[in-house]
Amino acid sequence: MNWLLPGLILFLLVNLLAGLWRVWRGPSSADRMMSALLFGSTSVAVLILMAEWQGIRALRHVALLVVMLAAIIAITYVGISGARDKGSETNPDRKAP
Amino acid sequence: MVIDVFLALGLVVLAWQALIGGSLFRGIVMFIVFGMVLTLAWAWLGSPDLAMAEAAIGAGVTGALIMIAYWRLRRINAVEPRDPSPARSRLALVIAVLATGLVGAIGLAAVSALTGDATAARVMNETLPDTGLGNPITGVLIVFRNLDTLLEVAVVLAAYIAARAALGRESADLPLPPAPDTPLLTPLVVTLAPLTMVVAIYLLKAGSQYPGGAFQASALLAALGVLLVLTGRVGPAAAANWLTRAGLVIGTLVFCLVGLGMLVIGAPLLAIPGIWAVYLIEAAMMISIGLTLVLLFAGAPGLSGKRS
Amino acid sequence: MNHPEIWMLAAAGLFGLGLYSLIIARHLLRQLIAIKIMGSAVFLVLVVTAGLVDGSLDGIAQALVLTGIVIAVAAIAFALALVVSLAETTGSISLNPDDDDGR
Repeated sequence: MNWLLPGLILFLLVNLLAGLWRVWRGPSSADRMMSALLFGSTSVAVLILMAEWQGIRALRHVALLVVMLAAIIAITYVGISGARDKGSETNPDRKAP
Repeated sequence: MVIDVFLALGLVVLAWQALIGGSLFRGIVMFIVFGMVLTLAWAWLGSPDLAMAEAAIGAGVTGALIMIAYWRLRRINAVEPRDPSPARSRLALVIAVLATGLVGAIGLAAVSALTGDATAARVMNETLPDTGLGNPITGVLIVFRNLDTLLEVAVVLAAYIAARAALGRESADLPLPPAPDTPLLTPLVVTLAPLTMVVAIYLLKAGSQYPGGAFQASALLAALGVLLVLTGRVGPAAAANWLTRAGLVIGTLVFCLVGLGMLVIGAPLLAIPGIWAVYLIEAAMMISIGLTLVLLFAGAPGLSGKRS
Repeated sequence: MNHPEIWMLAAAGLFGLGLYSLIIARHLLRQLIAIKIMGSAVFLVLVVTAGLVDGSLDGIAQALVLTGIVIAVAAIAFALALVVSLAETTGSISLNPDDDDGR
């Protein structure tokens, strides 16, 4: 049982790595943004597990804050990157005429 | 041990991805992810306060500020810079390797010299119960070293004034808000706004005894403000009304008044008379910093209830 | 916090990467991100070298870093306003490297 919590934390961190691959590869900015948001949800799980493992109850407060932020950041980034449809990633090397 | 290595390595890889190569947009997203992993690192190191601040300010507000600047630069359609010359990057490599060695040497030397004897932190931990506070960080920020915190609030205000001056006109561009009938948007905003307020005020209140406090609460409020601006619930106003002006300075003002008021009753400058003053100062700081960050994001002198 | 050395190595790596990118990057946004990452490295050094006091992290170092995080966001916001203003005025998102070569 001693290894269950750190094992789970490590497993979730490896999951983050898989998400990172999607951020790295893209190809559209929506893909990158979606996986960055996935990071938010996984972070919450990691934080709650850390709170148990280290016995620092307050880490649950951090998890609460991340939950609130994740929802806000989701809409914020959709709001900004959705508005940049003309200059989106499909043509990243676009230069000024 | 494994988790330490994993998080530390993850930070370095993310920083590398954010900084070198790839499109700038990918770099920005990597930087936001870097902020989230740094949040986990602070949590793992045992500092919930820093984890909260990093999540809310480092990843949340800074990410939103960089994103909106990126959007504005796209809109201006400025010339993208050329790639640097190889000679310059060879020199940069040498400098960077030397700097890495220097920081590493300082860090490792300092770590091996850890004594854990009577430090300022131990003295502070012994004095803390006298103040009625349970969270040592709030204790340092508001009671023991509050001149630093006062100046910090002033710096945030100064940054806002400087950014206004740099803008050189009334307000910066913002993306058009999504159509009001966008599915899910209105219910989400309506649910999120009051919930975020509750959590922010809870963090402010809890900050006296547990991790949390004015800075984390203000960053959460700022994130909410950014959301409201982007969805068009709140729009930039052409001029600041008295409420905005009051909100911008209330943090500095209340802090100064409490600090100077102590002189009147014969106590030392900036002494904190009691736990009520801690709450009063923190609440004022929360309003000021939160509002300042939202206005910095919007690039506007004030906010109005409706987007024009 | 059982392995401070690991974190010191990571902080050194972050600082080096940030400095390297700060020198070679031309895009001002990228340079700002580099400065921000260098700042995070310094914060790590500050908190980890302060070490444990009575079983928890040094409260004074944490408060110092908390102040630093808020100052950093204010500075970044001002810098971003300058970058946008520069791009509007000159049409360029980078500083000319020849301008600061001691002339």
